[in-house]
Amino acid sequence: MGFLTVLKKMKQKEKEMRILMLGLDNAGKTTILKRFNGEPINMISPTLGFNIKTLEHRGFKLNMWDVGGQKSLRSYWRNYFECTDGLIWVVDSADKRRLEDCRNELLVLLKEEVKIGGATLLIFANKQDLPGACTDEELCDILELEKIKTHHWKIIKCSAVTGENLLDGIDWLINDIAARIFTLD
Amino acid sequence: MTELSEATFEYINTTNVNSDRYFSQIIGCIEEIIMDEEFIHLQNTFMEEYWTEFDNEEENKLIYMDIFKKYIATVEKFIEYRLLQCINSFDMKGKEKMNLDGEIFEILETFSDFEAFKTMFLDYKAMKEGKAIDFSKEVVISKCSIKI
Repeated sequence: MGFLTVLKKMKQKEKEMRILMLGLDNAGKTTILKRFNGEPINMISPTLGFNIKTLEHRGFKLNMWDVGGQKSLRSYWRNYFECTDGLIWVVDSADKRRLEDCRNELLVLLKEEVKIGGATLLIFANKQDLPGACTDEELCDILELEKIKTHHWKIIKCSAVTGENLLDGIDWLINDIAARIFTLD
Repeated sequence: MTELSEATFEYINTTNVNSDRYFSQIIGCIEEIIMDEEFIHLQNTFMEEYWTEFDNEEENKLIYMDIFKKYIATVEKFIEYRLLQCINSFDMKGKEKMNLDGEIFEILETFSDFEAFKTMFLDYKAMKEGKAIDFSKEVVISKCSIKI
């Protein structure tokens, strides 16, 4: 970490957080981001790079980074870890065929990320509006979340399309980060 | 406001004078460094090398991040090197917390702000492509009604 990053951290107002949103392709990361931002969500194409949006919520400024999830892009994820306070792992709860892939990628990600920060982890069990979507309990088992000891985590079922529970997830994330970081000062 | 006695004033003066002087020395140095032609040349050379990679799209390409990291490293290296020439035993990572107010820190912060970085490149690109002239301030377009 160079001195510009150190400066940034020192300067960073207490109420600013950096959130990194990852997950397999087609999980709904960009849709969630646009939903939060009040943008239309009917014309979203696969993300090949990354998007950044700043959200204001409860007086907090959240810098949200959404990086494409296609297989060829996943090795770039680690480029975005630095200074991340919160990780959102987005899961397509209806894509049962790829849940194993999803579990493995999350495992690899956490192993890498913990070396740098150990950010708070929110798992969004997205696409609950689709028939046949796994429940949060089912996903907890399949993704073996109970095994995660390196990060504070929570799974919340949601739908980016209906907006269900999206804010609840963000609220939990903010609270955990705030308790973890700001009380230490 | 209570009046400070001469003795109090003297006391404040002697305890803070060293760290204050050190601090303003650093600020002065940084200001000089980033106003220096050499630094501006460094930035321009950097933008000249990479501006063609940038497009005015909302979605960012993955390569922007690589360029951004390279930019931070380049700027940091330059400032640190020049600072070391200015002030001996300068250590930015020291435990002492500084008061980070003032314009200079706003400027330093933009060096590590991605959005500011992207804007800088898009402005440079617009300039290179000759689209930078903003007529909005000179030309006012208004409704015109013609009676026949």
